Amino acid sequence: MKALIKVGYGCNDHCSFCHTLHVRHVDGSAAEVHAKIRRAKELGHTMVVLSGGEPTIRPELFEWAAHVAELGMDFGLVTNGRLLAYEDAVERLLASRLRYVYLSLHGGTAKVHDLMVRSRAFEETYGALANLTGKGLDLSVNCVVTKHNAAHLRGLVDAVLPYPDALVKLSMVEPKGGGDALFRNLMPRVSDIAEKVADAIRYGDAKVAEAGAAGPRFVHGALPLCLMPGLEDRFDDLKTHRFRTMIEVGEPDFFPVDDLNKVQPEASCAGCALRGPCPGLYRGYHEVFGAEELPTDRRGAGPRSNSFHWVFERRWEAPEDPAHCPLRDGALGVTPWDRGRDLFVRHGGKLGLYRAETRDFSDLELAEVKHARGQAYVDATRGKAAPNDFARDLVKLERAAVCAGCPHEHRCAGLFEPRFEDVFTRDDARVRALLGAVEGDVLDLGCGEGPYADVLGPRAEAGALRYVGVDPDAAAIERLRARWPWASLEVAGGEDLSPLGERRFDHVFVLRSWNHLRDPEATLRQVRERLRPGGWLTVVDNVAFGLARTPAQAERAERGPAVFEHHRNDGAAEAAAALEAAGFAIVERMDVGPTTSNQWLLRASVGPTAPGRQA
Amino acid sequence: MPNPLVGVPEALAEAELGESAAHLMVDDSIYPLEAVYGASFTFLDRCFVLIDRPEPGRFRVTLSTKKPGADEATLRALVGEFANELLAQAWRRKIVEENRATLEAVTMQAIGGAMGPPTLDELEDFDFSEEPFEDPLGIAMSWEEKYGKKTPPKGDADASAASADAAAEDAAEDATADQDSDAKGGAE
Repeated sequence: MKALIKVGYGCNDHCSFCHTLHVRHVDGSAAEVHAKIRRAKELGHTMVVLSGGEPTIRPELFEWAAHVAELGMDFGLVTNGRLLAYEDAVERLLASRLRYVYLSLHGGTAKVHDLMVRSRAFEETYGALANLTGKGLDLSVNCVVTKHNAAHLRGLVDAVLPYPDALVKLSMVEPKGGGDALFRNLMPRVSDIAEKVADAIRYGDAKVAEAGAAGPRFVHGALPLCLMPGLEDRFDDLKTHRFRTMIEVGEPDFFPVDDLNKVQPEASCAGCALRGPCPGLYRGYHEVFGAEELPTDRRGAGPRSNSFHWVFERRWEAPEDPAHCPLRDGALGVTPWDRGRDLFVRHGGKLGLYRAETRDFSDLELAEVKHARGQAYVDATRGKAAPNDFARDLVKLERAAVCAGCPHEHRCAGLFEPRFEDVFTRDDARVRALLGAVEGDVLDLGCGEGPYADVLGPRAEAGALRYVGVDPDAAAIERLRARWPWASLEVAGGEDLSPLGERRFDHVFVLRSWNHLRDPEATLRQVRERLRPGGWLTVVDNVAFGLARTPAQAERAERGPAVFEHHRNDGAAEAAAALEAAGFAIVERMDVGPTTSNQWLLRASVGPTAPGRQA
Repeated sequence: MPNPLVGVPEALAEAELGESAAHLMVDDSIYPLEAVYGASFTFLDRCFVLIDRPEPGRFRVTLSTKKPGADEATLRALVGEFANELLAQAWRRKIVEENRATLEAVTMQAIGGAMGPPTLDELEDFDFSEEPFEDPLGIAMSWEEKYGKKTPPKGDADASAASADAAAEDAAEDATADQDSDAKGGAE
């Protein structure tokens, strides 16, 4: 758990793409950095990483490192590495628990690297690698790729091959500072860089395999994953390096690391299963070049997760006073905590901190699940691998009353408290009421394990309805055939209902299977054709949710057999838009929110309604 | 009239039985003055102790028993005890010297921990005695300082950007020239 402290922006290199070009004259005082080191410890970090500018040009470097070690934390550097060409500098820092080095090397030769950094620096930076390797460090070599070195990436790979413990990262240049000021001169097209980076990674992999070596490992940064087919798992960013917070010079407290300088354009990225880890495009890049290099539709690219967990980390005493906020009114503060990833739960005089490290969801998605949709629960299961009865196994969490009206309410990670009410059974009552009143020909699309058999079965046996269930899972259909003599069951996916012949229906139900559909638009076309005039379509499904778990629960869940089955995590709004686009008229809508379960509902009609057939 | 003491070199110690006193000569190249003080202190309950320096390089210690009529055996025992204590004091002092850094560090940590974290003002004034790092290649110096470029005025971001960029271009040329000719070491 790393904290990144920017100590100042002065540097002994002058990279053309320097992020901090406009503030190179700004340096933090030694005392400010010492105070931030103490604050990092107070917040529970286990490592402090100094960055800049260039932290190694500061005369206080060794004092800062010693201070970090004295507080029982590990020490790290984001650096151009030039000072680390001195062996004794490395030795002294190792004695102060230097464990992590993120070193910038932008070319495999002096000619390329020195032109990138506009200094005679290669021998020192490259020499530092020899001093750092084999020391048990977490050692990364970062190469920023611009127009100028894009053709020389294999040369960089060749240069780092002797260092098997290095992680070599090839990163798209960011349009910030120098990268923005010299945009036209520096900025390559992202698709071109993706191609060259992929080539360099594959070249490096082959060289490593050829040598039978353990490394280096090659990864990429700031490149959309759809442009790196086959190398998606090689993405690398601050979070993969376990940076949790950072602080700039002059800032009063730490802030969580975030991806807000990047954008995932909806036109390309909507429905993509890889939105969680994907960096998308830099905003500045997107403003100039748009998203024309990205595939236009990533829907159906693969299944994705519909849940995640926050794992318990720490606990404090917390007064029961409902007007007291332990974040705002205490030493924890408001700003260091990630709005989506950090979850504070107060209960019984205790305050617990849970943390979500998942990359299945982006930061924005996590914050939406937690706050806008309010889908945070405590996993109260005992003695089984995962919850399978939400009403019994999950306890809903809601924002504490003290959050209402707080000036930090919409920025803060929030304070949550358990609400001991079975919201699942309560919200499902409407679905059961609809099913209990339905008459005529009924199609259940994606009937799966048949969660509503106790409602539908008696009505079918009484002749009130004629039930047809379809599901693409042949085994599930076989099991239902044995249990449901009153049902007609077919193996079929929602996109192709041809096994049903010419049958038409008065009601179609899509119960908790909307987000399993590969192609909802195609399914809606099929449904529309099979609904009689005045017929009804009812869609019920769940949005994504998060569970607060103990480390043991989280480990059990991650080792469990569950696989991704969802192609999206639509809520009522997204599904309603699709239904309306397909010609349905929405007549009833239940949205998910902070006081509801994660289940939403839509009822829609096609053509003139027939009151006699309404449920 | 001084009398020799059995088993003790005459040049180092003698007794004056009529005075109930013994004299010891201490070589200051073997025993530091602090050890003489320390050893003398342990005899204050039994003797009047006088320390003088009759000649360069030697201390003289006179032990006069508070009870009169001490015989030779008593005086001999006093001299022997003093010699042993003198050795113990000198050795203890040497150990203290060798462990001083550790003792001070432990003490400082204990006191520092009890005082709580320093304030920003305290840190500003704190004397960090970390040994300075040698930088013979002149690496730890800002690019602007090294290439003699002006630091842009604070708070003028645009001007800063423009001038830094221009400076960068100039310096890149300088660096390239350095590389080509090796006439002046850019790294020095």
